[in-house]
Amino acid sequence: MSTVPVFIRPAAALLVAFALSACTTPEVKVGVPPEALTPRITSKPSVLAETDATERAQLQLVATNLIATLVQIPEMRPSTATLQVSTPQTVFGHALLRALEDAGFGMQLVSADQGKNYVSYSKRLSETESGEVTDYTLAVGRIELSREYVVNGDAVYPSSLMNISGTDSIADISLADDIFIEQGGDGTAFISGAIGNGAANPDLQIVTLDVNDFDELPQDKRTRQDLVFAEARQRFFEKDAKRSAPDLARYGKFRRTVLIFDDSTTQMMGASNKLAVRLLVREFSGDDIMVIKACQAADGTDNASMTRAIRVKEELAGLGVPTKSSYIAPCARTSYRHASDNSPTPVELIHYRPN
Amino acid sequence: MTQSVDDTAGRRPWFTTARLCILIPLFSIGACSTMDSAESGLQTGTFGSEERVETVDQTILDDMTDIVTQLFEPIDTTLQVNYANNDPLLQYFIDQLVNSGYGIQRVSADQGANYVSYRRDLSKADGTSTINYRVFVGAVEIARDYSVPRMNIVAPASVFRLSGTRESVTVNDRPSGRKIVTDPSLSQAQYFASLQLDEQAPVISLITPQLVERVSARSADGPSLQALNSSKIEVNNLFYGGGSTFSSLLDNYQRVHKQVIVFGNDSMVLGDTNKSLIDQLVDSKFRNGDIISLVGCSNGATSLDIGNEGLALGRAKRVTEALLNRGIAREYVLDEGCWAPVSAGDAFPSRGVVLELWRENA
Repeated sequence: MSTVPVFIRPAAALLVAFALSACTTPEVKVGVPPEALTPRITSKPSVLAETDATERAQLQLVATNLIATLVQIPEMRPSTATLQVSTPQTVFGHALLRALEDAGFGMQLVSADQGKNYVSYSKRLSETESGEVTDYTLAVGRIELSREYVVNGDAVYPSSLMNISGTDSIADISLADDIFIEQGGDGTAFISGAIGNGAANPDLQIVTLDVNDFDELPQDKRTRQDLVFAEARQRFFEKDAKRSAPDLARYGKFRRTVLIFDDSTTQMMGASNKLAVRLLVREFSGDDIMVIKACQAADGTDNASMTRAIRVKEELAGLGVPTKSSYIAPCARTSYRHASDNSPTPVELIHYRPN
Repeated sequence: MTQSVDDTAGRRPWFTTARLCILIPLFSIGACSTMDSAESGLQTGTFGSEERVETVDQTILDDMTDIVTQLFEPIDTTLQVNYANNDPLLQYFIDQLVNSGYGIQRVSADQGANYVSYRRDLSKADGTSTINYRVFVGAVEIARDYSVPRMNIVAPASVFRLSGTRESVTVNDRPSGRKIVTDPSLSQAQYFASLQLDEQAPVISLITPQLVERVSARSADGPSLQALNSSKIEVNNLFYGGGSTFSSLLDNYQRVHKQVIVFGNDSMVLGDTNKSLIDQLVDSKFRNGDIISLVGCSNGATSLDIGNEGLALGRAKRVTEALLNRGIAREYVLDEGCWAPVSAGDAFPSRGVVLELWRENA
């Protein structure tokens, strides 16, 4: 005969059942810590701390979506644009400012709305026939982006096209909407595309994206915010290279230098290369162009080369060379270079002058 | 005793069940809490370091901030910092720059014309610690030594050394609870040349079609048509005439001063007199934004192995270094050469450097 008290067995069974039930139906709570949304330049930590982690994650996605669009607008190149910001008072403001910082924009703290690139934003809730919809707006100077998003469970999805105003250059913009698919969904669908100044552009592709439960990625496999911005920037430069190929027959070579990157992965130019670019740019004048030859791959799809070329183009932009005056040349195989070759990597920079 | 053992054995299932009751929920909670902490949305870089910056370093970096704000207009300037760098000293320095009104751009590598970095070297001699700080903002370098006579107290141990700028600065060495001034004569700035990266700088070739034509037409035994100047930029030999290699740069400038620095025969030694002439030029005539063009010359017979080319460009380099040593940024010095084994007549001196000061049209 057992000496176990009679109340122990049911209690144990209950506890085990409770424990197992907790683990078999885990609360898949998406969330980000407050630090992930905290801008380095200025913040109000209490605002973020009081907000639910899931809401922070949703706002981070919305901010990422808006900023990945902004970096593709030619007037808003992160390498040349410095934005004026005030201390954010809301979680959305924190998420936006942090995303702007991580996208590479220069940020200047101002006390009011000083500056031609002053950043303002708003979040407006609407009750519609299809439920509650939140309209997020971001304005930088005269450029404004706005889009509606809807919350479904722990996930957030766009519920309108991205409306872009204040610029004519929206034809080549690719929205970073895949980040919403990674949340997964139960047969959810959302519209993806951009419209300019409130009017649909026939050149723009508008599609409906379906989200299924099998689309859901584990949190650690989802695209990182910095990669979303890097891809958006790279896309811009690739399209820019195709769009603005100059007619080199109208130009003559003037000067040339070969920058050496320490290895095939680094983006660090080093002080010597920076000095050479500075000296070369010293003689740049309005009608000149700079051609960057970085790609030595045989198949023309060398991403590492493209990254180095973009790095040099950004350096030129930082020194005052307009983006339209520097051109990343297509891949041209000059020598055999194996993909695993990590030796110093050359980038040729040629200064052309009109004939 | 035996009874006691038997009692324990009889109660074992009870204890086991009770232990399970405690352990399973604990384990479950532990496991579930682990899952929670692994969850996150989009991942971002780490936030700035929370480490505390020593008072001594704060005082020094405040000093540096004061100089930076005099060299770069805060409202119009964006500075670049590497976002992967969570060094607390740099974070503190950036905070001071933000509060001064600068725009801050976080970059993935060393992008930007005003990329900010610093170097801190500590040395100890005669029981006194000396900290050497060098702050780099683009092409400008700001350096100063500080001694630490007592805990949390610093004293300037050198003047401010500035490179890459001729902007005048006021050194505000006001004594405070964190700073003492033992030698008021150190409260000033001096200019020097930062030549650390000259050797590694890549060559900039001149590839104009005219040059290519002239190279193909040149005689085999005549003086060379082009060579590298002190910035490793290929320049034309002006003995053959033609305009300056940098003429396009001077389109919007007018010449406001010209002088010739004369060297000894087969010599690249500047000498006190020439140094004094360069001092006068820099101190009394040069203004920020001016450009100095100089042509080093060696026209006539020479017994040196480096020949006329080496001598001419060596003289130009020597004067360039003297100008950089006085704080003029390399971008504002255009050095070229004129060399031949025969006289260039009135066009260029036989053994001198022609200096011209150019100022942007109003």
